[in-house]
Amino acid sequence: MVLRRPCPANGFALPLAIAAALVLLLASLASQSALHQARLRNAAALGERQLEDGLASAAHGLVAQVVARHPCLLTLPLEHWPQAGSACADAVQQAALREGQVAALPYRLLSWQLAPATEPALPSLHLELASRATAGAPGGRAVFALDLHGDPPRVRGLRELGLRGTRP
Amino acid sequence: MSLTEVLVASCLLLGALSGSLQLWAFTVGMGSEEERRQLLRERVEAELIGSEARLRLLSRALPPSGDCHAQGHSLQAALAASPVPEGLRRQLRLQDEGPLLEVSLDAEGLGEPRQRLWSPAALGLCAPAAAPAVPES
Repeated sequence: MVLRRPCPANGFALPLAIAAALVLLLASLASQSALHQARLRNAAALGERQLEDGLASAAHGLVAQVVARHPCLLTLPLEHWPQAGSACADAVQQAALREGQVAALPYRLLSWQLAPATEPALPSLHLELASRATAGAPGGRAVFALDLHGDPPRVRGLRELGLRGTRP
Repeated sequence: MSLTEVLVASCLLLGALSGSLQLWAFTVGMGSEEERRQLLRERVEAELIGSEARLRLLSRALPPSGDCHAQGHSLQAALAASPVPEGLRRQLRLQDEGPLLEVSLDAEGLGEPRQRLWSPAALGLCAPAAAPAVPES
């Protein structure tokens, strides 16, 4: 009986090929996953920009309505609208201002109040709007400053103070 | 090392190499497409910021007027006169309600356009309507 010693190189090709194949596939899957992550990040950033667009548009629409139709509300804090604001806007009109829709984005007015005066000659209003999340767009809140001047106060400009949180 | 083992290992390696190459090619293609779209998104964003800056500059130059629609038309004309960046499509529309100047920016393959509304009133261009007299009690 002849005993044959196994060759030391016997059987190394298959494990090596399996390992190399796994490395190749894992590397390409990792690059695919990185691309997917980048696309998700870009999509989230775009959603945020679109939310900013919507809320800024809503703020412009709201200010336009107040200036054109309900100027007495301009310098009234939101909580005083029902009483003192009834001179130029009835309850239905006020409700439409508090909760409305501009450019297909439903919004809600959370706050409308004079900002702490840094310069008494140049008062400004802070208004805060919120929107619900809709299909394909996150919801969120944003704050704006409405600069006023003159007596009676007139609008000088609307500034965006930025998003205050988003909801997916 | 048997011939069978070498053949099986070669087939396995070739299969993995082919699959991996296909995945890489797909990833590179998608990556360059995503890069192109991201570049266009940044152009749209820059154009929106530029539009807002132009409107703010113009609002400082124009005196406030009681005719808010005329102010809206002036803003629309000013934006229409500025060139549209390459690869972008721009639509300007003055909505009667408000009035509000609607700016839509779009590009090939970007999907939903970016849309912003600006009101001449919020830019300080409209003189307020006369407040109704509060009845004396």
